[in-house]
Amino acid sequence: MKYEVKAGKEEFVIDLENDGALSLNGEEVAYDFQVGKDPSLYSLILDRRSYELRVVPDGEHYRVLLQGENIPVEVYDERMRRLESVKAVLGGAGGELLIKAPMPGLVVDVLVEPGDEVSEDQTLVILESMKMHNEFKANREAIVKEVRIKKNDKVQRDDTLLILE
Amino acid sequence: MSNVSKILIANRGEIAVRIIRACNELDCSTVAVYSEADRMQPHVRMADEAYCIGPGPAAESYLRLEKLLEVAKTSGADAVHPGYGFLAENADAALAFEEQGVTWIGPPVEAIRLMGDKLTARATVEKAGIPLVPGMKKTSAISDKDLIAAAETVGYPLLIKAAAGGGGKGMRIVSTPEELEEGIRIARLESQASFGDDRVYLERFVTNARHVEIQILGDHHGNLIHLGERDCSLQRRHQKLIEEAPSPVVDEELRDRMGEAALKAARAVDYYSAGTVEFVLDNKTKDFFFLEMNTRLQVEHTVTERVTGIDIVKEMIRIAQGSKLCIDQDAVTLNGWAIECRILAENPWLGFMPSIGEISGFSLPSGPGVRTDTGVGLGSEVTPYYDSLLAKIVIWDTTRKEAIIRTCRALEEFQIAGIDTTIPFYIQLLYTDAFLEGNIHTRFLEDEYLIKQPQSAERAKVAAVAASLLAHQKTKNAFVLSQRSNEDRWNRFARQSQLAARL
Repeated sequence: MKYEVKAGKEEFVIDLENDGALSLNGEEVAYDFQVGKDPSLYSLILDRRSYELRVVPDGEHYRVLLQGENIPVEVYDERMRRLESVKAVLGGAGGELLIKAPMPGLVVDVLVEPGDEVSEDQTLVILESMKMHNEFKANREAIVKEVRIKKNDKVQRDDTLLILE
Repeated sequence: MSNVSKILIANRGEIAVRIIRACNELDCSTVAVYSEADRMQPHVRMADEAYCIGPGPAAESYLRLEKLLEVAKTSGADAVHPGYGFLAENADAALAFEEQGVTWIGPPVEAIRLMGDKLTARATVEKAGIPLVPGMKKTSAISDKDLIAAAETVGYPLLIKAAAGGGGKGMRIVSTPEELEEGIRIARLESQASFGDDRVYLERFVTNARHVEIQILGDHHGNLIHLGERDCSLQRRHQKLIEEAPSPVVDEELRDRMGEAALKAARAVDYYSAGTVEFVLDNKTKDFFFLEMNTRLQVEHTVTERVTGIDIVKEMIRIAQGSKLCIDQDAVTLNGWAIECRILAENPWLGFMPSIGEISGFSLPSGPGVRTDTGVGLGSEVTPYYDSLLAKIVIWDTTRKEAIIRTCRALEEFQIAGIDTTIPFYIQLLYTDAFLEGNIHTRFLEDEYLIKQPQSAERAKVAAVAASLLAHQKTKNAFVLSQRSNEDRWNRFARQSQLAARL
């Protein structure tokens, strides 16, 4: 089975045969991949080099912790590739930008209203999480289409705060 | 002196664990408190007794004084250790415990009160003859108008500071008059949210400055000593990230002078127990100015412990029991070099955005010279309710350079999976020339350092291989229930390739 893999900013094509043989960008590599009793801890010996890693599923993808670096990895087979391209077409249709909460928190202040024109780097919302105030800024010029939250609301991760257009 | 044998730990996380350890070594029994969000945290499991004091948000649990007093009564605790944060610098809390006959393992109530209010603290130490960071003269009923008027004389860049502030909270730097009003607004808001008090004042921001602080220890018999300095110049948004002892820029002579000034400040408020006097040190002139005094145990007390060999938390408990200090000033020596890194649940590549979730993989670094203080473990849920400090690593070696190398080694060993942490950022930062040469200041990260996510092609390759093997297994399992597990196949393939390699 052929996989297209994006790890951090690097891209690879990895082919896994039914007998377990693995080729990386067309070249076969010897490997030994083992999981221990600790379920996220793996040992990979790749071309005689030994690595200890932690692998955690992240939705459809993975996060690989290796030598202190936390690397997001996306693995696509052909079926997923097709799905992704369909999604990209649908998502790209409108010019709307959803500002989502990257973490749960408390809305300390909402500084814009629907219809406001905002400029790049203008603060839109202040969210408190872990005792810190985090300011969310517009990443481009836009008009505020919708405000879905108000002061003192508690929000969950991935809740939509605002819609810009 | 009072009986101190059963200690309520009015805190959570790594510092609660740290205090429990000291109690165990001194044969004191321990009483933990926890919020509903913290039921499975290590401090709860480690203590002799544990009491739930309310829901997750700190205001409904760890900050509820009446609940803590009740736990003290129910459990029969004869002393309370507040740790840092929460109620640690709350004079009313200290008084309430003392009035209930529960010994406050910390300084006198009056010292907390005088030093806790930054404006009163400035007035107090100025009287004692200690140089202050230039700031506004007015010390009470400061309106926005007063602030704007004073800004001219204080000069830019300046700092807006919360009178009730501490630990870097409620501080904003303002470089131009245009930013002043917005800065005041946000500082008041943040101060109100963090301390329930929106009073702020202005201080000159000393550029190219280091943050150097002196650890103080005093007993009830009039003995007061200092344990040398810590350098906490590496900060982000006024939050300390990496601390070290000694400071790369402080020599014997400067240490003596700063130590004397710190002792003077402590004497001005009849101090006992552990405390810290913070100074701003001008990198060029080596002039130092009083910043504030923290009337509590600090996060970074560990580096001082490592170079002096003094267990500060055990000393605090012994002092509360009425013992004399274990050491006098002349016997305090600094041995080798210690570095502490605060491991935070934050994503350094996304503006240090808090990272929340379950810790799904966890292993601690170890080996020579490595100490870890952690309040989390495998399966711990990192919630948005509390600050983002997960753990501290405290590394010792004979020289600064070796200590830095060892710190990087330990950081690479430290695995926390499932959430983002500041570990990769520290590894990158510690190896920069500026840090190696000790050539930094408190605005180094904001003004000079370009935070760039490291990209190692080799690591990416390894990650890609591991993830595709797992994805492959998942797909296989979804389509067919294979008779042999993939692991067997991997084993078989490994054997084959190892055999092949032998030839």
